[in-house]
Amino acid sequence: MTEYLFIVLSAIFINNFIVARFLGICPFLGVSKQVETATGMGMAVTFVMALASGITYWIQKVLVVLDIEFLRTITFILVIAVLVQFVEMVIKKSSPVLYQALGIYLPLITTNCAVLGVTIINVDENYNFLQSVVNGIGGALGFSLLLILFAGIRERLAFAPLPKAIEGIPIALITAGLISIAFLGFSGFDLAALLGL
Amino acid sequence: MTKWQIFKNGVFNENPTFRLVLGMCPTLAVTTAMVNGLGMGIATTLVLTGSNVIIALLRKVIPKEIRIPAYIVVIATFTTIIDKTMAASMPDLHRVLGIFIPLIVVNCIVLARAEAFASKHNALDAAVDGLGMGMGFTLALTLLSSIRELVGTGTLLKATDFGFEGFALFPEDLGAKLLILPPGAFITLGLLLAGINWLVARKEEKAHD
Amino acid sequence: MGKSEWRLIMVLTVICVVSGGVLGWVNALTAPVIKAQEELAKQRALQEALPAATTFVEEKEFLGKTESSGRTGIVEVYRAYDDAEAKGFVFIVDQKGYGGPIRMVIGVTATGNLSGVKVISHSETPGLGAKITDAQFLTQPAFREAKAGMALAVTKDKGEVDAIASATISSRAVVHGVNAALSAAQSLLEVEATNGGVDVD
Repeated sequence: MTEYLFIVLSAIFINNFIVARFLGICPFLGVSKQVETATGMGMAVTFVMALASGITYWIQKVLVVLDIEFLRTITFILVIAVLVQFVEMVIKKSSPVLYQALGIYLPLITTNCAVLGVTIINVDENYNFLQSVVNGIGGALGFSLLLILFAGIRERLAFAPLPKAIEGIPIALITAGLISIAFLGFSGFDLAALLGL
Repeated sequence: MTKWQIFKNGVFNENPTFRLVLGMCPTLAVTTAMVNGLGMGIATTLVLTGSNVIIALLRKVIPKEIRIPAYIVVIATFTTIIDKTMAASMPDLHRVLGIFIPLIVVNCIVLARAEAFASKHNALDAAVDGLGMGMGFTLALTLLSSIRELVGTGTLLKATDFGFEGFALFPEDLGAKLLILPPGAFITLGLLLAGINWLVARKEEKAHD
Repeated sequence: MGKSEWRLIMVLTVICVVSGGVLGWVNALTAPVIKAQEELAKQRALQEALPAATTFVEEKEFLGKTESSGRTGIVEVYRAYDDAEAKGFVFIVDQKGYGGPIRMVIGVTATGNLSGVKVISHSETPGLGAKITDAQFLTQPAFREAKAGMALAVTKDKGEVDAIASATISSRAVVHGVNAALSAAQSLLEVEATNGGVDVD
């Protein structure tokens, strides 16, 4: 149990997808203007990343058995694309409320590099099935946390008097840099000792 | 548009990093040293040009309904070719760039050019567009990584893996280490973008006068 | 299904098959080269840790015997030879650093002297902990004079190793790795002494 807690906590704080691994920056800058949309995006990404981590674990097994590991990138991205389509269809049919909340973000997720990124990290780290899924969820939670925090700041930033040249993306990047400094405090934090591993 | 205009458009007017703000993940992640920025830029350029050409050649064959999956397959194929070739020929750089090499497949620039340009033009124009956009991306990555490397460590173009010590301009201990840490990526790029916005605005103002 | 749907499937299938074929061909060309590169890099790292030796044979039994290998962080052990003459041992050791695992290669000669330490991968802070790869740190007197069975420590822990300024955790990790190798070398050398040397065939 603590082992999984370790994976989740380090994916959120120490190896945060956005400020430490630099994965998923496009949606981070793109859909972080309002807390509400950021929350929706965060939920959609968490859902897809958990599913993708689980499915690609078995796909990797098949690729290894067939000795065609060189097709990993191509199969993983196709699986993610199909998965996103499928999730969109299922949510549309089963829960119109959820679809309204997540629907518009789903098509954007295929090219969110955090999703493909986490599946490759799972393989590189040799995670088993459960560890992969937990890492997917942890990574997505870290992504969502940052997205929502950042949206909260940007809502206020919109009212700040700024020089024209620095408005928009430049000030967003500088703000992200300051958040990243705060998260730097977590690196080197001995999580394993804290959890007694 | 002439070939030169297409090329120039990718490098300057619609520079993928500075003007369109696409492909931010590798831009921020690998620019700790100039060699890495340059390597990532060239790898992306190769994928972009290759997939642009193939997609332009196939533009009349691929039905509209399945164009996105078809593009993804073509892009992923080129990404894997580059990935394997780099692993075989320059293992050290390949290891440093790590996960960001396979992730070229989800770099928005590549899919965006396939959809917006290659699917509507002939193969030669598409190749020029890929080269131009790729060069624009490489230029941006090289600029960002040279600032980070220089201010952060006091060297330029240091590539120990290739046995090149780089040009040491001042002692490493005087470097602002923050720049080669993750926050430095965000802050340097933010300031660089602001500077370019300011330059563009000033140029436009002058054009109006 | 209508005619147009069949066409969609056909086109996509053809694209996938062609790309699979191309990738198979690329893979067949590059896979042996990549493998050779990895071997070469490993050989080079082993040799840097123990320059006197030319051939390295993996010793698999030792790790199986020591139950505590998980704690020492030793991943691989090699017996080193130069023309059938035993030259010592090389250990590949993982230790937890500040930013993540640090993997190092450590050589110990047949006479029990530490012959070299090389960090092959790490994720320490650039400019601080990353200096564990510097020769200035790795070839300091405390390491050069270390012998099998010794336990080193950084000066902060009242030891002899000069740690890198503001990077005690990273320095400590390297020292722990070296200690693991030194103690493993000690037991390997003891076994050999009682057996009256190893057979080399």
